[in-house]
Amino acid sequence: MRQYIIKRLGLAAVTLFGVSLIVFFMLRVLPGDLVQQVAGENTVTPEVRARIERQLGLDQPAYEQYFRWLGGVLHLDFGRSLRDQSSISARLQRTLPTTIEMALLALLVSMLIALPVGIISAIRQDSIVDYIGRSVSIGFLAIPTFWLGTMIIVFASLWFTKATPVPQDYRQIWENPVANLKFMLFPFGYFVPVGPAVVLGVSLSGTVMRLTRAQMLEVLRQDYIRTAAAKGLRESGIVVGHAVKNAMIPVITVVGLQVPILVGGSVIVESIYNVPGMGQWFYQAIGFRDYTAVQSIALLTGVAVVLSNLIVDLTYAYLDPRIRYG
Amino acid sequence: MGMATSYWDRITKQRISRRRALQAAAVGGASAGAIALVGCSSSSDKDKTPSAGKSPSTGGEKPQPGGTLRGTVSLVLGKDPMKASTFLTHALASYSYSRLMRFKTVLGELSEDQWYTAEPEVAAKVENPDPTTYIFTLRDDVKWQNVPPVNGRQLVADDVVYSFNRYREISPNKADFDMVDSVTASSDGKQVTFKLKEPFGLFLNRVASFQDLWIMPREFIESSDTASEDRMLGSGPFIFDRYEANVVMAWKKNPDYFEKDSAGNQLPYLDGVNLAIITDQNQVLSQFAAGQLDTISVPPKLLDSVKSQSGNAVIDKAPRNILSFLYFEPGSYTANKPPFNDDRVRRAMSMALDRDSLLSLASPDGGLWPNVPINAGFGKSWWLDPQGKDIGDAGKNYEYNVSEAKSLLSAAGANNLSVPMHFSSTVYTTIVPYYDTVRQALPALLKDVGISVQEVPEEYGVYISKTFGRGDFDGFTFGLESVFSDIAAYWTNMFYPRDAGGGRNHSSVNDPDLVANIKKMLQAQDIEEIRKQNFELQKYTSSKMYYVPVVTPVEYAARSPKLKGVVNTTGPTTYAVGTEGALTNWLSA
Repeated sequence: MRQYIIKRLGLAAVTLFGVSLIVFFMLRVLPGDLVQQVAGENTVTPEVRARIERQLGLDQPAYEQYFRWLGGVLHLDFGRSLRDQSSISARLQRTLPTTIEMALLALLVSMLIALPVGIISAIRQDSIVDYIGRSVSIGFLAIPTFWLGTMIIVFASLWFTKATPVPQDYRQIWENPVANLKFMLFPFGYFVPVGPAVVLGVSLSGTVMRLTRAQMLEVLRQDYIRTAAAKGLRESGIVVGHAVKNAMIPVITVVGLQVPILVGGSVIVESIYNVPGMGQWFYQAIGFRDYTAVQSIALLTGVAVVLSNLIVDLTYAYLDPRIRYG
Repeated sequence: MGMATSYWDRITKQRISRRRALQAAAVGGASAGAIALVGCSSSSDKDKTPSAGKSPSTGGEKPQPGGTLRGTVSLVLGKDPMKASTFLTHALASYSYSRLMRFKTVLGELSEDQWYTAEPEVAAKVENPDPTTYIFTLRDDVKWQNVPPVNGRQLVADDVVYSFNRYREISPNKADFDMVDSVTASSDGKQVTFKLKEPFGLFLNRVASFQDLWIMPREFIESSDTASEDRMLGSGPFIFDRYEANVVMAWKKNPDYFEKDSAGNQLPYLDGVNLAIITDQNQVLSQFAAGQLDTISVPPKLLDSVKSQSGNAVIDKAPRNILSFLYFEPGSYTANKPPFNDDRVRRAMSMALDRDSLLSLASPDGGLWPNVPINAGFGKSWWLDPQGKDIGDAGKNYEYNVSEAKSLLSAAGANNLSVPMHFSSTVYTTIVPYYDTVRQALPALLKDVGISVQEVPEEYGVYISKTFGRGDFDGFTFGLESVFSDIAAYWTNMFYPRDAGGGRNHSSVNDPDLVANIKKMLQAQDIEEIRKQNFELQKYTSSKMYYVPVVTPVEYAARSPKLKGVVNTTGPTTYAVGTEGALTNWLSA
């Protein structure tokens, strides 16, 4: 197992190096001109261009810029924003935990919705419960996150004159856990779970719900399930003890693959709910050609995807004793 | 709101189809009336030796000191006004910094003859002994904020000279002061003398511009490479408190600010200003409805929603000077490239625009028609009404006239024209909410006269740097011009050669006669002569249609009834919201 992890980490490093190269150089071939944006809306004279390029270090060859940035990253110094010269690392310290927390809560919400509904749909196949569950999952798949979030914000305001806290009232989870979780899950009251993490989680839950149901149906038809039933085990024991665990392996894979979707979703949800996280920043940084910010966030997203895949693989071993890494 | 006698209501009565023009908070900052745009001044130029502005009136109600104003801003693009060309940065800078001059504001309505009047801010008086010399005597009670490294020391003439030199070195707008030959400080530190290379009749307005000469202390700027981008430190009414990206920008009251109201109370009244950084318009409206913001800008389409959700909100209105216009590929003027090298084609495009219909699409209250390049928001003293009689024959180019447009195209040999139209909806939708509505209607209007348009949407980063900034595009573009605070800046920026002060000459218009006439106007000393020449120039550019102006819709801002001390609730307000607006704001219990 240890060797496997080391090997995977080594491959991850290669992957991330590739990601960093692609992101760094792709950004620089995008149309649009950072110098012009920094200078503003006026025509940029060669003199002004040279001064701004010098200030931002853009007068160096691209490979030098790359290795300087990469060297900083290895020391956890992501450089300064080309847009406003603020420290990327300092800003990541504030925004990254927010986005990670929202993503984890969204995953949790999606699991809380998807697993029970998926399992019950399967064990009560073709019942009214199953039809409702399947309809709900299709609905969750069909409703775009941006629409759902916008509707919640608009109708909370129209009907109840309620709004989420203004951004400066947002508190990190370690500063005020109650206020933070209330914002993420129940911004308009404890009986109305429509926070950003819930909206993001709901959009994820449709896929997982359908997959859980399909896997459960397949597992429930296996011989060992019939054997367990024939031996007189209770249905709950069969489902929980034998079926669910085996049905979860593909589900875990899919959940692991949701990480990039979560990152993409966070860009939208953070903008709608005004969550001061990394997603909103990412969106603005792309628009302003803030190379250092975009490449740093993209690299961190790459790290998250690679790590989540590793965790998924390691989880297999726990869920299926037949799987052994070595 | 007492707006019955406002200019815009008078326009309404005169011309039903155009109705009123309103103002929306460009930065949903301190107060609705304190946020809008400024333009050139008139009366200040009649008397070239204005003395210190009167202490702001309390307006009858007794102001209650204290409280924090809660506004909103959609974007923060920097904190150093000298490095920026965007009005967003300048507006934010105005909370912390001061200028030698500023634009006149009054509580409530500002009468039209007072629009764009420059009056002293840090200066106590201005002397103009000859057409090329301006001597500013500084107030002796202006101190830098009591924050290291300046620690409340007095602001002196050397500070102004330092700021000017830095401006001249780094500002993207530095061409605005190309007319200045030298700036010197007197040995006693009380006077600053500007010597001009040539006369510039609107010089005091240029000094009052919110985009240019903010006074910044040397020791602060030089304290670190990023000091001016990390925070703000000036002599303005509010001390920079904190900035958290995508969260908030906040200021606290400067207790040592140099101005008091007419009753002798220390200004500003507010204890602080918090601008929540919110990009989503629905969020902004819901925050306002929930009472978590005191003032917001309101997209015209959502005006009814705001009224229904926030029934007690005060809706403010004033003109806005963002110019919506079509501009043509630079080769049209630099290489005589058809079809837009032919003024008949450009005039036909103007005639294809049903501006009243566009206005009705853009805003429930319609709006006005801009001229080239002077927008309706400058008021009748400076803006030549395209529908008025004074514009003469050039007025025909603004009339919606499909058959005449077709005839012009036919005469130009441009039948069945097929051209790309570049635009960028992103960002604009939060700052100028009508933009995309108007943009969507343009292809159909042009189609009616036989011009087939291929829409070329551009991501904002591409648009602002490539199309708008460099003029690197084909066909034509529907865009917005940022705001300048005097008419001179529009003329020079949009018509001078790009390398000689034409920073916004997006189409590389190349008309030496026009440039010569602009210079002639700017050198005139008599304000009435400047006005006259300004109108003549507008007639000329309207006949040429180098740029095709589109519409100036009515825009709105809403504020809590608790927010008092609001200036310029009609007419032009200001982008220098901190020093010209929030200064007199207060919150009633």
